[in-house]
Amino acid sequence: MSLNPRTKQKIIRCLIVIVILGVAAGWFGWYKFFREEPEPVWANQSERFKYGSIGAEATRGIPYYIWLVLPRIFPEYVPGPGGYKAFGLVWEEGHEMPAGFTKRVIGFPRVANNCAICHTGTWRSKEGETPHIVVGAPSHTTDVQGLLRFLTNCGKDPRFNATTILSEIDRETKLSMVDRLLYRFVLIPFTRTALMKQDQQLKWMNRPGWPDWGRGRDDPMNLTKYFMTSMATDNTTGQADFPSVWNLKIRKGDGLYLNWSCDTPAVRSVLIDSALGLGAAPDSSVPLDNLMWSLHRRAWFVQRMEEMDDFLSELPPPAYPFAIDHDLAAQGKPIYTQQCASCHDVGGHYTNKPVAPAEIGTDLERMNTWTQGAADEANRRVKEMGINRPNMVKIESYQSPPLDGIWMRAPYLHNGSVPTLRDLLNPASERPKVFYRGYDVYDPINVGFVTQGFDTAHQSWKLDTAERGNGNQGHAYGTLLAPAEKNALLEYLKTL
Amino acid sequence: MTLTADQLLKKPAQELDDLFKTASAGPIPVGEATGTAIACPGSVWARLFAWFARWFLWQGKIFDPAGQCLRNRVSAFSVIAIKAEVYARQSWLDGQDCIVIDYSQTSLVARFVRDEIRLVAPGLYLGQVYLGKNKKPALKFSISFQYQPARKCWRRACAATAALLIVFGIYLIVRLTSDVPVTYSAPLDHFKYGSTGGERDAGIPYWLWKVMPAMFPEFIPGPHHDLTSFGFVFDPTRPVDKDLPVGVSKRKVQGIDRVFFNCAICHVGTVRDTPASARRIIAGMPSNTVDLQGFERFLFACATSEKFTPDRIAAEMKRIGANDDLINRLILRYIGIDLGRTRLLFLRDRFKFMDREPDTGPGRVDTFNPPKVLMNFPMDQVPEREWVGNCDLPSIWNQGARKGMWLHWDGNNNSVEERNRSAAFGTGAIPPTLDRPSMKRMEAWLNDAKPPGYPYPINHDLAARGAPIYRDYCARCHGENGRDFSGALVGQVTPIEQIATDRHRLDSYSVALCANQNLLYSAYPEERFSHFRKTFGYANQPLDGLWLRAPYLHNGSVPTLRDLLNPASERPAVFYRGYDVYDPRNVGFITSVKEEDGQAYFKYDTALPGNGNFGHEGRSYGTSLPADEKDALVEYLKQF
Repeated sequence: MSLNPRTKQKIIRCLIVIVILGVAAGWFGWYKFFREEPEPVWANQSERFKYGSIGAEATRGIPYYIWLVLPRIFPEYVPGPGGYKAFGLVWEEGHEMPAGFTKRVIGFPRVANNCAICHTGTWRSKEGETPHIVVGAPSHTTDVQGLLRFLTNCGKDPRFNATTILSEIDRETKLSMVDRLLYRFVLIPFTRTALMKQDQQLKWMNRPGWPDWGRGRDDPMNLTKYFMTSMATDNTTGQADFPSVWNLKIRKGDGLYLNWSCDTPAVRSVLIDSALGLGAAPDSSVPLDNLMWSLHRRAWFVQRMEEMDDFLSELPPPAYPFAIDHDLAAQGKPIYTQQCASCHDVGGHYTNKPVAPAEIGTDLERMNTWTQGAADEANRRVKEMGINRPNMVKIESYQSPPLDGIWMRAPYLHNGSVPTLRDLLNPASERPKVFYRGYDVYDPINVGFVTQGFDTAHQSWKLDTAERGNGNQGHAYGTLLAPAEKNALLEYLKTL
Repeated sequence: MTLTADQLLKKPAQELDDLFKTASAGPIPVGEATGTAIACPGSVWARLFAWFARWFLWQGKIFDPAGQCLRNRVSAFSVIAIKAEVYARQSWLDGQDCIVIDYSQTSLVARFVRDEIRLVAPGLYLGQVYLGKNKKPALKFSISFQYQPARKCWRRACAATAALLIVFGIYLIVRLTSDVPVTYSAPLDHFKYGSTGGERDAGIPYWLWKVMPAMFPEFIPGPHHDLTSFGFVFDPTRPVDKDLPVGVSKRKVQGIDRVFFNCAICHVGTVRDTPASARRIIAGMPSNTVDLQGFERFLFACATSEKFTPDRIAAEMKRIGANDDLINRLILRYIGIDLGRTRLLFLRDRFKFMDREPDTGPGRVDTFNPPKVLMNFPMDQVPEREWVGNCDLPSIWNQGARKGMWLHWDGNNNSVEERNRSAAFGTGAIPPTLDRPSMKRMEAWLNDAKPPGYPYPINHDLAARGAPIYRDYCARCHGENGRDFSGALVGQVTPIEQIATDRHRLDSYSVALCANQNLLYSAYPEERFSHFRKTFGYANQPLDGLWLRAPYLHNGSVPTLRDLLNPASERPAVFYRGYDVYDPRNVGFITSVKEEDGQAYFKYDTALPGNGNFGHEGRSYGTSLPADEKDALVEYLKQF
């Protein structure tokens, strides 16, 4: 059957209009939701580490203006005055974003996190001083769990609606009519849904009576299990101190392990898995995300991890900023060699290697959070994303790290249960049972951060060693040294 | 073919006149005829005009059966009105017979109109319209009996209503999106009276501003129960809006005149030589008389009053002569006043924090607790050390020469423009509403504004003896002199341990606030706040116009320069602020006057938190100098 030429012409015209409209709609959709604006040119790798994207914005990015106004709309979910700063974030003067927060335009400005949220720390010599920022140091002041809870609490609140949020945004900017409609009908409802979903995903950490992470800690292996591998909730709790991430080159080598209980055999795997956990991983529930991932994000991500590896491998540990009694330190050196070196000196027999829990005697909870099954599942997922990296493992042990920049890595032990190095050289019975962590004024006498005598309510979190996973027992090494020997050893440790 | 009304529209005027002249008058018609107005015949406008006239002005004529008179169908609603007499008479055009439609005796509106018609085709009359005595036709028209007009009145009425609504809607849109500030061409006037854009969001409707003091005198202290009680300055030289005080600007937003503060509310002061002298109004000096906190409390009190209802306020507005048009009256009555009240009560709640600090009194504000409110910090959880942020209003001359210095009392920002945007929050201007071009003009004035010279006699010999003392004791921190701000420590921060003045103001500015300020103006990357920092001391300031900057120290705790050169123990423990008569002997305002003509002044008690008058003392601060050297130094400082 041949069509009447006029009908044919009409059909062709209709098709042309449809195609043009389709292209326009596609362009609009791309422009408003997927268009990536280049990141700013970072002055150096440190800046990039603190503020640069690791690719988490596409799936985990919160629309910037929502992020901006949430603490103003929901101050009751913030632990005190100060907006996001109240979570103990490292926020450099003059910088728009706190360290560890990235702002990037993917269709619209979005906020996500990068490694610096847990790995950039501060210290002060006294209260009346601007904090010194140390890239790669544990973010011992930051309450990541508080931040997560804040966001999900906002998402659950009925005031998380377009009218409330837009009226607050109106005090900051004039959104165009189109952006306003997008915020009202797309971004605000979608963000709300995502936050409510996240609340469900985080149910495990909000179980009544469950130990809090507090400042400077998270539950890394359970986060991996429940987020990356969506395994069923179990009864483990593994609060762990944020580690330092500088000087990674001395942590690389055959038979060397990372993570507190030797869960990963390679630096690159730790970087990749942590970044994926922060939201760099593709999310099949986000439209087109798997496609975008395999089209270009994966290659970008792998490259980014390589560059980060290069940067962190060479990043030097911070030098001790206070006076060191070098004579005393010299006396401490032989004690260190005798007491500590085999486990903690670079190239030591046990350094970066597994130590049996019976030997070390520290709190077992963290070790028990990870299983071979979880490792297998995590490895499978990462492979599925098309990323090659050495596999995670399960070894019944704790890892024995080198002590570079140890002064800035307080509180000590894997669960941050011992406030200072001096306390660590005391037997568990003499270590503080309860103390405040998260304050960044330094205590050069005891080598660690000050744990009392300040505004504890606003600037710290109370760690109770009686809680599950917070035990401060174990690592009894050096506890029998004479006081003078301890002093000498402490002085030497400042030089590392 | 019979001629029709449509065809008449297409003929040029001359041809129509010819047609008219050749036609006979015809009989006086009876019944209803459809009318067509004819203007610019023969052109494209003719049809358009006819269409418009048909819809909105005139639809036709209804001739009386007796043949004596007629009525028109007029307006968009086809109302039968406007009566005319009808009779045969000579035409004004050619003197021949025609039918005249005469409004002169019968119609009020149209009495100057005379129509003439002649039959140009069966059932079709062509008409000429004369206005007044002018015998040249102004317009033409036709009336047609050729077909019975359909009864389209209701459709026409609906369509016309819709059209009117659209026109009205467009008018409303234009009106409600309007945004027109009252502008001043002279830079100084612009600084004193121009708008920062704050009225767009925070503006108080002009007539509400006017009505509140009249309606709530019970909330105004002082003898006059008007805004002068809050120390507001009224300037008779203001070009327009003389009834608004200095520092209050006006802008028509959404068709409603609104008023709010500008920079001058805090930075224009007055000086009198004697109680009887006229007030000298000096731009750029601290507003020594203005009690902003008092005014705020007045507004809050009004909002809580049971009299603050739309009805009562509207009635009172009418009484004081408000000339708002109907739309504005409706907006205010049904939306504006309730909204304003809600807003004030909201602010009252948020600003509760000020009740836990001592009153600022005139010439002072709490600078850095309001930004916490702006970002909705839970103020009840703010640590107690931050509670009291009261400090003196600064002078703002010579901002150009201050570029790069650490500004604010605690030196927490080193960008003049950013500091200005920060201060503009106090004038209600938030990032989307700040009037940038206007701010630029104000900034241009501030950059070069100079303080007026000391108007009283100076003992130049004595001053000359003070110069070396100044150089030895003061210049490093306060600059070479009142014009040259060079000096190693000028614009730098002196640690609180060293300066040892009251630390409340310093502590009111917190690390948390500083962090959050980084997000202000982030939607406007060029303007984003990026220069704030937390300091641990007070900044050393240049001393330009020092004589006008009394009382002294950041919290205005020391009345005169001479007092400042005494150790804290000898400085006045209690004194009165807000009085503007000058004390040339001690260099400062007279602070012993409790009240003048019933106007009470503010009792400043240095024992209250934040009001401490200690610090800036000791050998290096000149408080141990011999008395004659202090006098010499004070004399020298008069020249600044």
